[in-house]
Amino acid sequence: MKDNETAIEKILSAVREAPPVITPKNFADQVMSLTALSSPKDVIATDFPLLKLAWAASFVFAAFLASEVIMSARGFPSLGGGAEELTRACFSEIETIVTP
Amino acid sequence: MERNSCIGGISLSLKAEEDATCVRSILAGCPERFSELVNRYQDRVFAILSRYERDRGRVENMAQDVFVKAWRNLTKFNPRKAPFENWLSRMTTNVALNHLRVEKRFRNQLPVSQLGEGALEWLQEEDDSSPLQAMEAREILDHCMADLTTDEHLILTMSEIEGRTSPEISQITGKAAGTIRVVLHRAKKKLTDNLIRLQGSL
Repeated sequence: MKDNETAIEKILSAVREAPPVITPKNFADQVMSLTALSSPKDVIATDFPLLKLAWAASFVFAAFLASEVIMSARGFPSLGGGAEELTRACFSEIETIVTP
Repeated sequence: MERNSCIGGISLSLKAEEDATCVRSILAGCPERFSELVNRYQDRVFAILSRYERDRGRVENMAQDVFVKAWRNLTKFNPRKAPFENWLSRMTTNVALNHLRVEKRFRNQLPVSQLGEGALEWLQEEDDSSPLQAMEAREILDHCMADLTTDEHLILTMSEIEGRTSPEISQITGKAAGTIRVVLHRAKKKLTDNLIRLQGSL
């Protein structure tokens, strides 16, 4: 049986000395053909709208929350309540049309 | 001596500056200049990936993946944080790490029958000084590393095969230097235990 420390060191040293996989001659061309379909700016173009949309959604939500707090503090009906009332009114209108 | 190191330092920063200029030029509308970066670093990327995978085709696919990822994330590259070479090395290591994770899912402990004749002969020899070919060493190492976690595999490879220092590994993996030392110690212990088990099973 070999001495394990020496054996491990020998294995690692042989692996260290192993030649790496040789880069194919046309490798850069292959990469360039893969990147030719898009440009880094296209990536920005697809990344940014989603980011902007997320910001816009957060802004609308924050504005809704703020208005709810202000309206309830001043004794006005809340936006949520108003929306609910409006929905109810719409449904009752539809019901009148469907069942005269 | 001092003069040489000084010149070395300047040439390094010049190279980093050259890379940064190249990136700026690509982002300003000269995408063809990306081939300069590919040509400059392709051998380095292949050398790193060869430490994690033996199959030529897979290494090539992984290298393509590295450069396509670099291309897509070029807008995120900040030359003030790290030189392009380090940024690309980190990306290469991440691709290797993902590859190890996928491999681990499908590959558990390899059967002894998968070891080549040369590797088996070397393991059975009593003599410590008997020569070991790189391919055979790789087979034995892969066998002994099969049950290492991806982190252990990565850190052991970076430290013992790539020859990186703890601070370098820490910078690339984002792990604390202390954690790296612990993981490395555990990985070496597992490696030794697996070698003993392997030799015992022959």
